[in-house]
Amino acid sequence: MQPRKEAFALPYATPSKTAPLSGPESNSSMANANPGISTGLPRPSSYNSVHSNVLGDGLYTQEKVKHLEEYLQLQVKEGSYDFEANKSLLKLYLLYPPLANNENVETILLKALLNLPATDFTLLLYILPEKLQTDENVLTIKDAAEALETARYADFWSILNSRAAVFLAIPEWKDDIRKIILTVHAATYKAVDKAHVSDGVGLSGDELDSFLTANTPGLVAKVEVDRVIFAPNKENQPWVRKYKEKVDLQNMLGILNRLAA
Amino acid sequence: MSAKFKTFVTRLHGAVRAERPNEERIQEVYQESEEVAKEFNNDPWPKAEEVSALVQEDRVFLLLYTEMAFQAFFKNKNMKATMEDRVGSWQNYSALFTALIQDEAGDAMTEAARAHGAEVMITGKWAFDIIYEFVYQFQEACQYRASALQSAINESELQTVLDHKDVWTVDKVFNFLHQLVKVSKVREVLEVASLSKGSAEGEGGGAGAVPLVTYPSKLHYLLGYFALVGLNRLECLLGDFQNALSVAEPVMEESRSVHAGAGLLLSSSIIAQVSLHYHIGLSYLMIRKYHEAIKTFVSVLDVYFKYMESVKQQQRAQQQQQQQQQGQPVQPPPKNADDLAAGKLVDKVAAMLLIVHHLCPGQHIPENIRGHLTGEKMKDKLRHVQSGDVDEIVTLFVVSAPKFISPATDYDAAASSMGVGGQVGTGRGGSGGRTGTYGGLQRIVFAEEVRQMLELRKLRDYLRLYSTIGLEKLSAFTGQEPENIRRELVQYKHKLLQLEASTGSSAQQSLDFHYYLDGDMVHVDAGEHENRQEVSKHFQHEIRKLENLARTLRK
Repeated sequence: MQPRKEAFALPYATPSKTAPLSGPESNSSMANANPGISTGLPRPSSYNSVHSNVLGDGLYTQEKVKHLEEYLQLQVKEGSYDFEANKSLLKLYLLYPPLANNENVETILLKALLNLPATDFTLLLYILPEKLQTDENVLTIKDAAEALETARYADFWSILNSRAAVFLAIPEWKDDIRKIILTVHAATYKAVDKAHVSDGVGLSGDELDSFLTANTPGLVAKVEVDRVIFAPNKENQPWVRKYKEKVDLQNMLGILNRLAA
Repeated sequence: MSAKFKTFVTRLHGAVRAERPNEERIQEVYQESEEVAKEFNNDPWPKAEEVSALVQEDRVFLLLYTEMAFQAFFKNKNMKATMEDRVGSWQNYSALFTALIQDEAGDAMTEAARAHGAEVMITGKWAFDIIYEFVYQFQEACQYRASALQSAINESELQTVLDHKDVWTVDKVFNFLHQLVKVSKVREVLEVASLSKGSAEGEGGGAGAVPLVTYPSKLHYLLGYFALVGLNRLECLLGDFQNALSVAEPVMEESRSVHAGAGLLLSSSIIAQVSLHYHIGLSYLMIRKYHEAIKTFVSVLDVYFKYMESVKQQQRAQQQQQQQQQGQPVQPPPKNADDLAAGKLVDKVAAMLLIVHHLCPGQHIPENIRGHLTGEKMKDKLRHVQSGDVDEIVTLFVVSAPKFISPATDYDAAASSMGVGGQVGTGRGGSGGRTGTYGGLQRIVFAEEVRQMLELRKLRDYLRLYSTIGLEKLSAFTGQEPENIRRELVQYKHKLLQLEASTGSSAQQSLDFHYYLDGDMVHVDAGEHENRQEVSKHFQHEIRKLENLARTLRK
């Protein structure tokens, strides 16, 4: 079992693990946008062999489905993640509807949410096979994702509680999402009432305290009786503003002269 | 078959197999096809067998010829294309592509070159047309198939569809395009070119250490190159926007490094350029990389305007010449089909730009383009976007987006509906069902995004006015509950993090301001305001003008 890396540093709080940008223009190089290598879950152990043997030629053939399904199960077991492979599997389901497996689709979607704030989940939604667009479980996951995106955490937790079975495909999913929510809070707040954090992460009392302590240092700086103070990071501190005045001294002097006269 | 047509075919063959290939000449004859075809009116062109004698049974040329014939046939609005026709077209593409794919080392092409005097040469524009038409016919075939299965146009058509389940299938289409790319080695050639920063054909790249990559034949290379463009469009239509971007990356990379389109294969056809950038911009938009989307749209509008300018100048010069010769005013020539198509696409690009810019304001758009966006033609669309109404924006989007397709066909359900002749109402690629066409999914996801972004934009507008503001005050302004505002602030942060994560650049660029909360107090840091600088410049300018005026008056 690969050790789970500390996966929830805020982007740029620690050096980013994405490839550095090549040149001043950032439009080039899609390597940056590969969320599978960003600050999320680690790569699966058989990443290299899958990418060279299965995904290498870029074609979409039915034989690949089995391999990618096994690879998906590996990701669940290891706690690793490979967006490109999962997306390819979903696309194969789209192209060959008889092969589509509902549980796998649900797993793929849940895995994608674990890579928030990357946009993996949205990208997957675009290629959802038609049969599944009206599937009850998929709709539940969609609702939960929407609640998560719009910061309606109370709704999010109530969905999870009422339809818990859907989210059991990945054992540690709840805890991982919890950390993501805390990350967003750490980016938004310098300090805030504990009640809000409690609503956000769906915990209270002792559970909440131990969860917060587990993330100190890192995201949380201090836990008080009724407030949580977050560690300083790029997002929750004032920016240093550089003043670039476009008026040069000579002109100003001329104008001041005029005014004084 | 008239003498005129015979001459046309012979001349085309001559130009294509010329010993000293002349691109302009090929282009000239190729474009005559529109003219020449008029004689056939509503009949298809003569079959390949009939013209074979004219071109010494040149197999490759005949495949190209048949492709042109089918293109003309499908384009003719008076013809009703049947499944049988589509099967025929598919078989021709199949033959053409397979011939190239199997000829990895280019030996067969060299053979043919020896037999017919020279290598086959076509123009970039021609190659683009082939690939583009290929993808377009695939789109049409999918829709045709779906509607045949759903509403059973008529029994025999349905039967033809069921008999030919293996034509125009998405995996084969993908396969062909990918294999064309692979066999043409276009990716390697472009990579070498970018490394040595020479021209993209390997000859100019003699930078010593970088090995030259050779492709099997010119035809291979051209079709492989535009196969990348075709794949880009195909991925877009299927909703895989990330792949669409990555597959077109070599071409985009090239167009960024080579200046002003000189020697750039893509710019051999204006519609190729516009189409590629349109799809790239759309993909960025769907991936929520709003800044890149805006950049792409702006750059292609720029290219298009420059192109139209140069076309107008050419026409004006021609007109003047003709007027001098004829001694009387001459009508301006009608726009050719390509320019018209490009123009339509450009309208869509402009509409998209309006939408993206509204959702993600704060990025600078150059004057001339801004002028076009607020001009006469765009007034309606501008109104839609500025209304702030989600439905209006989504409608505009749907109109400006391509027709997404559902590639898979569910034959079983169709078989059960045969003979019933009724509609299968589960929204499969046709009408009916809650989501309507497959594109409904794209629309729904996009609509949700628009809703969120509009909500957040309102908040942003208020926040920009302050450096610190309490939740209570914000609540008073927006008429929303403080708790809701708090939620929106967290949501907005989430969005900002998303934009950061996808662009890999700091939030400073993704949205031009930054904020955080301390308890109930929002602290805002606005980015550099362009307007402020312009204001100070403006004042300086006016003051100086006034001074000069005062001085002259005093004299």
